Amino acid sequence: MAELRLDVAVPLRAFELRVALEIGAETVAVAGPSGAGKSTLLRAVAGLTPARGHVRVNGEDWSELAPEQRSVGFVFQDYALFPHLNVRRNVAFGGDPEGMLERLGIAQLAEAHPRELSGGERQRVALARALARKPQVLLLDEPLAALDPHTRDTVRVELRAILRELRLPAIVVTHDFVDAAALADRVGVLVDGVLVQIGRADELIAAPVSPFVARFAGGNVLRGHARRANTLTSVELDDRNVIVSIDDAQGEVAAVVYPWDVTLSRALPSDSAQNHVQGTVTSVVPVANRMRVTVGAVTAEITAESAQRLQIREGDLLVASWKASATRLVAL
Amino acid sequence: MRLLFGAAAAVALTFLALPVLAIFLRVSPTTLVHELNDPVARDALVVSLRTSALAQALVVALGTPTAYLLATRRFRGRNILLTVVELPLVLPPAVAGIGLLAAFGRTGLLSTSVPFTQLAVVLAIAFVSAPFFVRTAVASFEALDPTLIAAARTLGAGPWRVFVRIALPLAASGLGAGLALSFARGLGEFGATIMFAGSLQRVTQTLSLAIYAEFARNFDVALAMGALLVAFSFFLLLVVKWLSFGWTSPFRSVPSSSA
Repeated sequence: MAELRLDVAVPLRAFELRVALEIGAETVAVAGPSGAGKSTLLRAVAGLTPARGHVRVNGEDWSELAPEQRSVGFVFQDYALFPHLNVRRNVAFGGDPEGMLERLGIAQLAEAHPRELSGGERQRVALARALARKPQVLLLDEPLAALDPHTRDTVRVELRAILRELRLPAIVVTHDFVDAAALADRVGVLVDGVLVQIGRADELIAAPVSPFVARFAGGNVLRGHARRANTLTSVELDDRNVIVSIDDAQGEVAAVVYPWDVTLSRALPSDSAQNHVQGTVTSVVPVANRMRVTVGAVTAEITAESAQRLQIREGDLLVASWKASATRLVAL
Repeated sequence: MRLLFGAAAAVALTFLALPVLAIFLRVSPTTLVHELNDPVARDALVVSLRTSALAQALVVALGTPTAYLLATRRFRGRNILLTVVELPLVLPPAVAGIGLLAAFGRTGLLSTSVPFTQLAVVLAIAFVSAPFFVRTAVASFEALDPTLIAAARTLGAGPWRVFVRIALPLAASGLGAGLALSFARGLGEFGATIMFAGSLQRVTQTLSLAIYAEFARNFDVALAMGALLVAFSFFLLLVVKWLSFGWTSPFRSVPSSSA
């Protein structure tokens, strides 16, 4: 059973990176703000950054090994392809290139030099090179960040299939929750060198431990003061609006509501949604077949048809509504 | 202002080009070629090429690893070592000559019989020209993308393989430019050589020394050797320019014009 156990500490400028993690034959995404130590974690596992503590892979202690003695496949953020070698030689630097070129669909690029490749092709070459080493652990640093949105969608699907097929302990560093949720079995959120939460993407959405995790998972975070009343908790927001939640809380809280739980209307609706906040539309952005509409402090994601029906324009006064059961409260 | 600066530039450029032009304008090219058949010139050419080739081989063989260490390691005293490497650049040639004698002379520190042999010429040339190569080489290695080195290591390459397969090829154009500069400086070496190796025809008399020895006796032979050196130097300068700027390959790592 493939397994990576790490317990490492690396002093960084403002804080210390301290991560203890056990990863089986699964992909763990490590997400968080820039400067949180995400890349440093990968470098520590690969031996590129000196770290205290232990890195154990399949029972073998890697802590004292030089990078070239550790069996890692590392895909760097800008791919780090060797510019003086063609694709075949780049991949051959890691191991036998032939099978890998076929597998990643880049056999026809074998004689091309990195400068002649598109972003998506470079990504495939970097992955092929890392896999040619037949690594026991896979480390990917922002594997999709350098790609344009269209290529990104394609590569995300391919990468996910490859990760599922390899069944290796893999760590993917990303700053994008969608990428994290799509690629990984578990998502860890790293803030100031510490994993503040780790779990399945839906667990992070359902029960974020902090406003940061909630915002990272795409939620609206509204700060306020909670007071328990009967079966519901009422929260007086900093902007004086009052909303309710079925979560139990008292005192300073962050109320989290996800954009897909919010509906929009022109006038106060009479349905079962119990929270209503009126505000001015500040942005309308199409996302795939949906519209992201920001009304005051709340962002809603509605279908394109609804947006069409409401004829939303920036500057319009709209009501954002969501259910008490769709309001998570996080104590501050 | 345009007129004033233009005039200054015209005077400066004329002044710089005039001596070189004078060499070629004074006698015809056929005479120059003919005068190179003079035994003094022929011997000096052989001595110059042999000693320069040996000296540059020495400079590259020892200077490349030195430059790689200086470029890739951070340690106390690194700046002092970099200064030591560059010292011969600012040392007056006479001081270099007396220093080499004090080090390798019969009564010197190491007490050897090197002075006034062809080996002494090689050492003098290596001493004064090495900084040109090492400085450029350090700059080339420093300009390597550290992520490429890291990538090579995660792919299983130890330090030696990283150096041979990644660092050397990517720094090659910079190293070439450094070598051309070093070669050019070595060919012109005069002061240190004449003090440390003397000026014996067929043994230690290089082209530069032979020009000095001949100019009172046979000015045309001296001129012919001068013209030959100009041609060499011009060619080496072109090589430097080509390696530093002209090579449009996008993976060229450094414009090594620092020396």
